[in-house]
Amino acid sequence: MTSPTPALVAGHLDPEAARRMNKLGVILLIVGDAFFTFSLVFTYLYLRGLNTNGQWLTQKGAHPVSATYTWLVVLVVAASWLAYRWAERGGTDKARIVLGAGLASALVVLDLGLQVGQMVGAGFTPRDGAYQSAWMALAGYHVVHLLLTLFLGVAIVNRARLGRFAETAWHVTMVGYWWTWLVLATVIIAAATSLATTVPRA
Amino acid sequence: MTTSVTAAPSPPVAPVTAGGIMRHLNVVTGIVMGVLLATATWWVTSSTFPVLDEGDHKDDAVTILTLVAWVIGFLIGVGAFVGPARWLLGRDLTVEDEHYLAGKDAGVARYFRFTTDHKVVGMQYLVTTMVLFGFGGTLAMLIRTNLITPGSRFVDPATYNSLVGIHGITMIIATIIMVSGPFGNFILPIMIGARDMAFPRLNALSFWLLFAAVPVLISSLFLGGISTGWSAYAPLSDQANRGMDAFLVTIVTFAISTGVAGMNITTTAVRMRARGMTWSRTPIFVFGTVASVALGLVAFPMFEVAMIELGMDRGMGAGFYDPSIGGSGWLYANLFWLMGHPEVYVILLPAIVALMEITPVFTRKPLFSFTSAILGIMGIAGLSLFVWAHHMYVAGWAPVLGGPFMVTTELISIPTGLLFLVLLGTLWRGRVWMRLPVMAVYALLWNFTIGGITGIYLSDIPVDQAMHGSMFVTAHFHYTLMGAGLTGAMGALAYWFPKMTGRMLHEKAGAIGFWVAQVGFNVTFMGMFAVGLAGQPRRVADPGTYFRVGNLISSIGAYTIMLGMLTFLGAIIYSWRAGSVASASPWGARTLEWQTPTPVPLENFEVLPVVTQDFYGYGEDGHRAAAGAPAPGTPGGPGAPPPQGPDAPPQRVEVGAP
Amino acid sequence: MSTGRHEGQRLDTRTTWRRPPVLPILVIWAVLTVLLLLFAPVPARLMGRPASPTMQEIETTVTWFTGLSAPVAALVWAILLYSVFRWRHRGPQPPPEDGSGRRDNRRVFTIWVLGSAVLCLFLLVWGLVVIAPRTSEANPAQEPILVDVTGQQWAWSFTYPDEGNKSATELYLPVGQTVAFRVTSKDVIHSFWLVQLGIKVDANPGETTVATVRPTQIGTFQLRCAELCGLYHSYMQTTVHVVSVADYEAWAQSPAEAHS
Repeated sequence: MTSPTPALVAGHLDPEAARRMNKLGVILLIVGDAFFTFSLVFTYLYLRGLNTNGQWLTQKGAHPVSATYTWLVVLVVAASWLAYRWAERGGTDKARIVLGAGLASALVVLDLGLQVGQMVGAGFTPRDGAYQSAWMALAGYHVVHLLLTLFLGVAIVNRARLGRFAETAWHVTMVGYWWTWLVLATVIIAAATSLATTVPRA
Repeated sequence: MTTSVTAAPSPPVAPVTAGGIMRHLNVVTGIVMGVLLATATWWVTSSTFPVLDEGDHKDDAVTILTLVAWVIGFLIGVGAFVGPARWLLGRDLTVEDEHYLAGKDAGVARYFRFTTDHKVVGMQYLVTTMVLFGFGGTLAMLIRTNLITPGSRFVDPATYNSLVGIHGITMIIATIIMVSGPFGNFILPIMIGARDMAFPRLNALSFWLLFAAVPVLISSLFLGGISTGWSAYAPLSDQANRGMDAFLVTIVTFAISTGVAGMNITTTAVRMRARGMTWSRTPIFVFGTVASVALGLVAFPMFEVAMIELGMDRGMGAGFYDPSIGGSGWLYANLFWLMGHPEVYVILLPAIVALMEITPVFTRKPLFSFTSAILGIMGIAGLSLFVWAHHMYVAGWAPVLGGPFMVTTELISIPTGLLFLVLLGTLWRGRVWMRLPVMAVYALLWNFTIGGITGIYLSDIPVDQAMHGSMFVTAHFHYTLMGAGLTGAMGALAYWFPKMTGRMLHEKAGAIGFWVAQVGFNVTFMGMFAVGLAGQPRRVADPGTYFRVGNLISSIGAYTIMLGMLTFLGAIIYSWRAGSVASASPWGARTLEWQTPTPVPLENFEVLPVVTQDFYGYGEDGHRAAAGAPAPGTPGGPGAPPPQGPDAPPQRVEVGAP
Repeated sequence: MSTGRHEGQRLDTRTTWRRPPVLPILVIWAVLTVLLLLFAPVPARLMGRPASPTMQEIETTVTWFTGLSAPVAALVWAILLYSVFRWRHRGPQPPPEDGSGRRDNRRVFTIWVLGSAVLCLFLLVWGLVVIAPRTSEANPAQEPILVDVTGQQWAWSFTYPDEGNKSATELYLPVGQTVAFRVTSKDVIHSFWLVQLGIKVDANPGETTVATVRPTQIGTFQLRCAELCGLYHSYMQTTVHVVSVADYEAWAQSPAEAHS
């Protein structure tokens, strides 16, 4: 797979240069995503603070989602992150990457189930009001995050299984950066939605 | 990361068939796939979605999903997902595949498929930008035609509002990409001595996302138009017709495109600079473009959120902006301007730094005060994130914050002043070789002075009470975005045209077109300042007899701009087809893009250059820009310097006081 | 290296400011400054005769800002003009030799930064000082007349709580008295703009915003919507009648106008 012609694209740079380059790229993408996430959290907190027309969670039968359930979702994500970290620490140990990333991906699937379950069982739709809209947007974005992570996790498992990380073991590290951000984002979202629910002065 | 790997680089698991599916994909398959997926989505959603008891959300949901399906289908069809899919499957692209993707030996066909070569992407951006300007400009002419006489019924109010909205968003998109798209992609990697962008496939992705967004934007014309202006203030945008759905899908697609491009250009500039190109030897164009796209990377996600929430409001009946169930238009306004003010500098910075690149070449002097340029760029980029609420002085959302935002806004005048200092200092006692590129510097300094000073009026809260939402604001930001931004982009095009097309831009026709457009521009927007001061609100279809004279003047000016721009366009088309053939370095400039042959070969450099000093050493005896592969036939070509080692300090000759 | 060599000058012993190019640029600068100063009153003229102290302040500020920016703009344009005529190299080929290799000038940099900082500081002080009395105007000794303003697509309506909730579709105000507008909207965001009185505040659905003004001119003025609010935005305007106190009271006593 090596070529005498000068390097054309990133994948065929020397692995260390490629790793540094990809690391910066992944971090920048995470920064962009962070601003996206913060905007959704801002939406939630700002609408709560404004409480326009006294409509934040004051409709008949309106109730916030269960905070316990929310933190359960966080817990499963954190567990998947730990499993992934364990795999990553194993260097290029093929079996360990397959096992760790596989477990992590399975936990992501579980978390997907939990999150979708929470959305379906929440007992409201975005039509019901500002709280319901803002919460659904945050939960929905968590689902998008999980789907993306699942793609990355499955790819790492598959590539490890095929032994295709030899030249490019840094792929595992790059996905690790994303996984860490996933946990952080989940904690931020959960903190906002569980600590700030009803309007204090309402 | 240890290198004691289990096996030597392993062969592909499954033998890759010569080619694979990606060799059959191009823009046509993209369009077919997009239309198919959109049609299927439309059919499925419109036959299964329930009609909710209140509102008309079903139509909007169907429209949004159909348009999103078009974008996704197009990307699948054009082959954007081949790379990730093969990564998932562990069948990484071979060198042969990558050469295919880069468009090696592919001729003109490479411009019509998912090609990763940054030069192809740059040309694709250039043509797209010009198409968008043509479209947006046509709408502007319709607007001005309607305003020639009061009570004109050239178009009805609904159409007029749509024209204003579509003109606005088209021009915003066009100006955002006008420098960092064509020149940031084509020129910047060569300028820093790289073979390509850091992430070539993402580079192609960002262009084709933009390409996919253009038909969505145009479809808004047939879905009732964008009747809210490009700011799409909620809750007006909640109740607007389905053109708004097209608008929000356009924005989300474009925001992803811009974010990906921003990440890519930033990584390229930070990580891929040639050996010896320290930050102090990096051309200023790189700094400004990176500041701009990095700003875009953080600003656009906020707009994207605003648009997704708008989509939820419209398609699902959510309550983000609907006050009756607890939403607020102020939420939208904040998210919009959190993007909206950095965006102004996303547009301006690349245009100004392009001219900073041009000025030393045509004055045969070093760039004056490189430090000021860096400080100016960083100051503007930093402050621009903290000024958004000056667009909302009269919104009433937080009157106490008016003072602090006035402070940050007026502070921006200091770094902006530094940019003026750099340009004026470089002109000072230069030997100004008055060619088309440097003419843009003069036009920009004239226009941007007016744009900047009128911005000071608007930054003052009491004065803004009288001017907010009036034509004065419209004139002000046209002076900055068009008078400074577009002018800079035209200069950049004239400057890099020989490198990109291999031919010289026709000097006389180009200059006539340029100056006619500049004169028309000043007439148009001086008239607009006048009617704004007299109290004409923005975006009114029928401003009334009181403003007749000013509006007539503006319209005459607008037709003059059209004449000038058409002449300029004619010069471009003529020169592209039949202009005189350009040498590799027709301006005698020193930056690396002029040290490679024209047309630029696939990997830009035969041997990667090593940089030993910066590129502004004009007038310094015996010092010439380093070049790895000096092109044959370069006029005034570099007497190749004795290699001084990659870490030799930039050499400067201090001169006495003037 | 003589920086002025391409101008074909002999060694010049005059002080910096008296040598070309500084002296001719100073002359051009002075001429342009004077011209721009003559232009300075024009924007305020275009804004029309002020009908309130608020508008008076705005027009004064505009005139001062124009006057103060005159020398700044004149400096930029003077250098541009001079360079076009004196530093221009003609012909299709680049100039045979480079210009001066000078890259920096500490003194110029320092003066430039200090100058722009002082100007900026002036703007800030000016802006903040002008804001201060305006906020206190919200709590004048005299109780302001309240007017509830409602925007809806595409008309304004007014209610006078002090006058037994009298409602109207044209605005009547007594001269010389402070009026506080409580502005809201029924549907989308509008902007309540009393053009000649120099106040503007958005009408937000679900929120009430306040603006205060004291009209000082009797006459009829314009109220326009300044935020695009849909189809007939350009027709969402009405007349403001500033009348004598006696006329105002007579109007307030008259039966409410019938409005559709």
